Amino acid sequence: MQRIPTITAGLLLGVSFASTAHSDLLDDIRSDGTFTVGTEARFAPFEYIEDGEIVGYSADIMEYIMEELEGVELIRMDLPWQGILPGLERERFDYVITSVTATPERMERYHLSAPIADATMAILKRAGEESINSPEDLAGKVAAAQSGSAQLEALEALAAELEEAGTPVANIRTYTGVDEAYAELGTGRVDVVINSLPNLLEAERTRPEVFEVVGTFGDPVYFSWAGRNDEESASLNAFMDEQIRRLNEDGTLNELQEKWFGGPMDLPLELPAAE
Amino acid sequence: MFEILLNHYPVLLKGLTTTLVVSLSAIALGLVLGVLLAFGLTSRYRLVRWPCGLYRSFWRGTPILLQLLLVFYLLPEIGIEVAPITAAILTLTLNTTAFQAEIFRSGISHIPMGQIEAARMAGISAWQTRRHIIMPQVFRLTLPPLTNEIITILKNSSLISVIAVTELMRVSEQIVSRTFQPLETYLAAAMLYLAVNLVLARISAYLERRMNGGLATE
Amino acid sequence: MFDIALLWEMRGLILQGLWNTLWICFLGCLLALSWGLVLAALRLANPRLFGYPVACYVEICRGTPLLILLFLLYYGGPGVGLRLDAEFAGVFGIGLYGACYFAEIYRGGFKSIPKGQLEAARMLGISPWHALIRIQIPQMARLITPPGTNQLIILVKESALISIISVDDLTKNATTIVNQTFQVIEPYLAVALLYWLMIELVARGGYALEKRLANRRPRHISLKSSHKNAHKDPAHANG
Repeated sequence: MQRIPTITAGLLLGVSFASTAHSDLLDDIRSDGTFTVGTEARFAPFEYIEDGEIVGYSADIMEYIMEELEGVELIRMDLPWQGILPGLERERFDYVITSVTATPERMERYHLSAPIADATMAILKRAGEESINSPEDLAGKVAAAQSGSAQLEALEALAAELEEAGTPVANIRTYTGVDEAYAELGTGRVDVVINSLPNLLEAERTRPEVFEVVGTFGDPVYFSWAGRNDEESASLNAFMDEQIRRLNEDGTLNELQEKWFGGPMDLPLELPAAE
Repeated sequence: MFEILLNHYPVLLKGLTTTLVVSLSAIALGLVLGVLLAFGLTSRYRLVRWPCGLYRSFWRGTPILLQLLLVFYLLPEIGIEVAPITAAILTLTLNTTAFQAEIFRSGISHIPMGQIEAARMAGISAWQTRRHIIMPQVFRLTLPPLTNEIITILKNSSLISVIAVTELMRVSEQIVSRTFQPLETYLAAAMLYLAVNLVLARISAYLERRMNGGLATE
Repeated sequence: MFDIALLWEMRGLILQGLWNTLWICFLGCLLALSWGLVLAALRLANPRLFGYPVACYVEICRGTPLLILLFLLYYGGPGVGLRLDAEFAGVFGIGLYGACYFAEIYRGGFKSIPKGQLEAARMLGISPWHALIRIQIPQMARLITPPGTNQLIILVKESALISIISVDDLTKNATTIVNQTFQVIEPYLAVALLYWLMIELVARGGYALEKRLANRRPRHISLKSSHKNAHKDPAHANG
């Protein structure tokens, strides 16, 4: 079992005083030979599990990037979204390879990488549901989003707008994972799910008889990966940004987008500055 | 339900193995530490009893879900870096130590004082008394509640996915997100847990009969 | 540095979580206590008919994690036409799960009452229901209060699991606070302390109940010496 060496190593490593041990995270990664990242492998088609392996858009991108890190093994920790950013901050892993929606608060607190995908908010409804065709139609409906997510924030902002217009939503329900929200949509407990467009398109693709995408709303937003905003992580963050930009410029990202999303995305090389 | 088992048995097995490894490690460590803590709880010195009591009160009095989250996030704050699976085993151990200590303490209190006094008079040291007179009897007495605690640890392991350990519960969730069959999948997982626990219960019953154990009912 | 101000700012979420945890625990425990009693009484009344089914129920609940039960109720439910709100899935999960443990606790209590008393009661024409309320339960109460309190404490702790099926309880709201404020230790520690407080209260309550029952009990009915006193009029047990 692979677990035993990990457990032994973990127990033997014992107390390592984190703050002074890392002078430069990227150097440490290269010398240790391991790159530990956090991911929430329940966000198809970006990162999800198939036959026990983490696959998806980011997995493919990482394959290209890992070629630049020779001799380094990628170790992915899979945990619920709500633990991802706290885990990064608490140095449970070196970097986050999972779709983090770029919000001003997050950009301040963490180092968000160059954008990897479009994250514009969209609405998912049950297929054939006539009464919902635009964001305004959310009035009187039950909406769902993932707990602790920027998508939830966007939903709450939309709900506030609707309330001011006198047509509030009936209720907002939050879930630990987006799959649960989709399941609830399927069983009728909620009427719409708010998520970023690529994910909703994937849900529609896998179950077209159950789900239908309504449309997008709000300003364009992007998905990034994330690193810590400190000195030790500076070179790692720069490295990752460089790699993503490279893949963007040489068209690799567009290829992968075709593969996973059915069409290329127009991504800037840098995140638009926070207002 | 059975097709889920058939189609996904490799990953289910891997998940079950992780569940078992984590649980059994915690049980074994908890046994040793639980005995030590029980001695601490029954110590003559209040300076020993009091912290032990506090430990027991906290670890028995808070939900294990929160304990897992706290340990997972607290360790790096105080500079300790361990893999999630180690953090999971650590938390489960800390938790079960408190429960096992209470079980042992209760068992110890059932040993007639007379035996301990006689041992003292015969010149047997406190540690030797514990090792040869008290503990063997206590283990026999406490086998039933210990079994319950072991089963509880196994069930508690279903929570460690919140700190990034992929065990049986998490594997089931992954299967559900691909097959969209929550009823069948979770039933299959329930059956696996049940099977393991039934086996444990039978083993314990067998040991009980052989050792003539259990707290004497009237 | 423990940031108390943060907790004060987020008190709305904390209080909402506390309220949800409290009422769901309360209803769940109530359900567990009553349904457990029904199971135990059925098994006692007609062992041939109910013995095996109840024993199966107990074994199944004891051997499965509560989390799976909650998932089955909430996510698997629609598959058999059962649409429960998350909060009520929590109540039923806690109730059905706890009932199996209480059924065993009650069973131990029932066993401790000598059969002679029940036979005498029947001969005197006292209905089984009356016998349960006036003869069995008062005597059982003292014996089953410690394990009963213990089980209630376990259920309160297990209630933290309902956060995983998206109920806005203490644990889930703590996580929401973590996500909003980027602080981890304060919310989780504060919430852990709140649970600890709740459980201390339940434990103290149980202890107080134990003491009260110990003082109330008439001296001549002692569980161990019941055999010796079997010749005394069991109707006195109603005292």
